Amino acid sequence: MNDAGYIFAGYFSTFAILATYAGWVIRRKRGLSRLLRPEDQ
Amino acid sequence: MTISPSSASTSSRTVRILGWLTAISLALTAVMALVISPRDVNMGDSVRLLYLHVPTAWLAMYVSFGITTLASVLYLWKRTRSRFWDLTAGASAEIGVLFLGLTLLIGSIWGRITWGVWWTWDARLTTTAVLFVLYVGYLAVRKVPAAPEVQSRRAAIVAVAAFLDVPIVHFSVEWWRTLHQDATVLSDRRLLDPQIGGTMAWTLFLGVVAFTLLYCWLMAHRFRLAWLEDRLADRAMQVAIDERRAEAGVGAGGTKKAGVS
Repeated sequence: MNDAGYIFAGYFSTFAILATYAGWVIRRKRGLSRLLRPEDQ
Repeated sequence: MTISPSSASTSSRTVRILGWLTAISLALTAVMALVISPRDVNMGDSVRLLYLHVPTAWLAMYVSFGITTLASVLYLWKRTRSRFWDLTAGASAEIGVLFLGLTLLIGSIWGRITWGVWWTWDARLTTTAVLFVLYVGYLAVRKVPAAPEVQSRRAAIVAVAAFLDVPIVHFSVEWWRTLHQDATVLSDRRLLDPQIGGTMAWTLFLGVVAFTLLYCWLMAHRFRLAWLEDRLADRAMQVAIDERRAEAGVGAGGTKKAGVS
């Protein structure tokens, strides 16, 4: 494969950024769920 | 319209299944794009980046920002005004900004391979960068302190105005002479005669499906987060009001308690 470095960098950065964002959303969501009483959610 | 706690929950079986379907389809897209799909006659192996570039652009511009605009219009319309639409608009815009950032990043890498530069002030690239800045601005406007209704109305107006750039981005390759290639599928000339076929078309289609599933999964979680943030802000406000009332010696009904000066 030509330009493999650029292509793999593109794929790696895309999936890394998406995974980081998804992880941030889920962690923050779980943190806030713990702060609120179930009836307030 | 009001949201019930159950509608804002993301612990459902459906969301978990959606998560697994998203992971599987993304993995399949990566295998198809990097291993099975052939090289392009003109672009060579750099075509493999387009299986990410096109779906992220589609998701950002048409799906995410489209839903943000629709939700904002529904918020601005008095008959349908509800916190639900405001939270939906904000959640979708944030995901859209993420996808559009990825579109610019992957496009930049593709440009480095094909044109020899990371960036050029081409009409399509410039209008897309403007769109990115507009929606980052929209997210910033959502954070400007104000009464909740004022904040939401202000943000909704900005969202509708920002969407005006989407058709400009879409038609930029037809209105101006650009380095960027014409639409492969989404144009009146190409819709019935797409410039892609066989395994490459199926890989692109799978990429669009995988990223659309990812958008739905992220929206379910991001909306739930926005809902919890909203609930927490409401509770903090209620606690502050109760504290002020207690300091002033006013009961819950607004009557001053006897013996308290």
